[in-house]
Amino acid sequence: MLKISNNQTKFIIMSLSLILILIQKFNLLYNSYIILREPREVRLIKYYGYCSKESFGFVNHIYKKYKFIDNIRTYNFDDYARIESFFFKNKIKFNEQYFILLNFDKDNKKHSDNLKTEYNISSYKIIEFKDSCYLIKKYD
Amino acid sequence: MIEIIQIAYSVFFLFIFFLFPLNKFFLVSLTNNKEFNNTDAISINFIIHCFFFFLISFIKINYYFYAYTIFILSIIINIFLIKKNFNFKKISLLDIVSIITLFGIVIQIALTNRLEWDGLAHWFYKVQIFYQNGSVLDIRDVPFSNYPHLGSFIWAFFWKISYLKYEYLGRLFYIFIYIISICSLAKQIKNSIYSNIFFIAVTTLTLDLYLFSGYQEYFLFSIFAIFSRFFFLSKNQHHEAEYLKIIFFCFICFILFWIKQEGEFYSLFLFCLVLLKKEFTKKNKFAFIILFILSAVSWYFIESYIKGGIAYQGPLNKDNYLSRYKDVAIIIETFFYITLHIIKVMIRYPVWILIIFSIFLYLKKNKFTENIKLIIIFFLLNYGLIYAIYFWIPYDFILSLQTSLFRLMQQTTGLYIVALIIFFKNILKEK
Repeated sequence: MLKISNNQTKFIIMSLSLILILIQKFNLLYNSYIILREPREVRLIKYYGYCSKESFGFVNHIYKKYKFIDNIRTYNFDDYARIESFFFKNKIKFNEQYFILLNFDKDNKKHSDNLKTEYNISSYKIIEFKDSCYLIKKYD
Repeated sequence: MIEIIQIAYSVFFLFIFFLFPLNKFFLVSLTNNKEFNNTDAISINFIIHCFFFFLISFIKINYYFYAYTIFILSIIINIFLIKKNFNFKKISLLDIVSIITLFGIVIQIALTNRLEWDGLAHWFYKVQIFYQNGSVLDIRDVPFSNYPHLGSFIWAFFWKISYLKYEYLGRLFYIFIYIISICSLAKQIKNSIYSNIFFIAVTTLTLDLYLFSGYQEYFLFSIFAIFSRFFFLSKNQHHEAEYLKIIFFCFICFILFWIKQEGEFYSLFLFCLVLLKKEFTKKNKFAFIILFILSAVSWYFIESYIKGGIAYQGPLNKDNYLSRYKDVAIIIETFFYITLHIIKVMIRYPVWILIIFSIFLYLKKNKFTENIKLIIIFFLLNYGLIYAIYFWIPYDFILSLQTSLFRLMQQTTGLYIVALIIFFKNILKEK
């Protein structure tokens, strides 16, 4: 029969406790459960927002619905990085007509001014919108 | 379920991939140093692979073919050797703790799979180029094209060869090498309890999930940790193996150029450390100087060719710099703000408090050893660079301090954590 000394028992108990503490510290089992439960796209929307923060959900919806061949410029009016690179197609030019505006408030003068001065869009038609996210077509 | 299986497979793939060409047995026979283990082998292989990743980033190559050729070769070699030498009793608590920590971080990254600011705005464009089989020349057409591309290439490589094609699977190598590099250092402490304490303390106090979200900081951190493992804690058993170390350090200096722009300076600092180390012969130091110059020149010409010149985030405008600092009060104020923010970052990453205390306690009982001197020289060069950057910056330096200093400091922490090992070994009276 396998004999275990007192010291070995202490070491095994300590090791097991340490392993359990680490598993708990990293929330390993619960996080794995969430990954099992929620598909990646759901998690992307959860952490990037649908029409908030980087607004992955809205941009993803636009790309899926309109099947743009070109890259579409995505302007975020809140303090978040542009999600453009997520959908970036190499060696393909950027569309000069269609733009995605995120966290954009039409009635906010600062936003409208920014649109004109920074992005050179003075008049446009809204193609689709949800809350503060817009797909617009620029008029020449 | 398939996503969890893919994550586990990706981690397994990284283990096998980076266990080639060297493993513990090859390393021992090559250097005659029996202290080497598989974590050391993976660390060395990682540097070798980075060099080859750099080379293949310039040519059109089938990523699957490249990855699976190495994977299969590694399996053939390692299965044979492991089967012959494997013993369950050899698996240490540190191995288990490392694997749990690795999976803990990997699962958290997989859960959020979020890219933070620099990840989205700078690095991910380059990753997309390589993922879509683009050329290194296409980098000219994306934002921040002046940033080096090695990290993005490796990210795209592992993303491309994954089955599920989820972007974050490409980023797992950052976590993998972060854990391996700390584990490799921890294994230098022979006492199991202390090695576990070191590993858990360092991972807990340096871990910042934000920096695994598309940043290159942990890539640099790991390379510094690997450098310090072999530079400070490895004694040559025979002088013939010394040139291998010189070649290895050359690879590290070369790779640093291609990770981030700061890497150019870090490479120069490591170059100085190698030259100052008494262990190396003059002949080997001369060879190192030649190889380093070749690395720097090749970096300059390749970067100039790809991007049409060497550019930095802010213009290095001497006139602007001089006009701003005519007043001594402004110099003192700037110095004060930079120092204040350095202290803030040291509190944010408390491993710094441990490092400072361990050096202080070590010096209280011991004389200045060569290793401690070299760590302090690196610190002075490193922090000299940090002060220079923020003194030189042409825009609001306080905002820059708030947004980038913690990253700059985190990059090189990998080198300083070796001070904890030196301290532990000293109190345990280990050689």
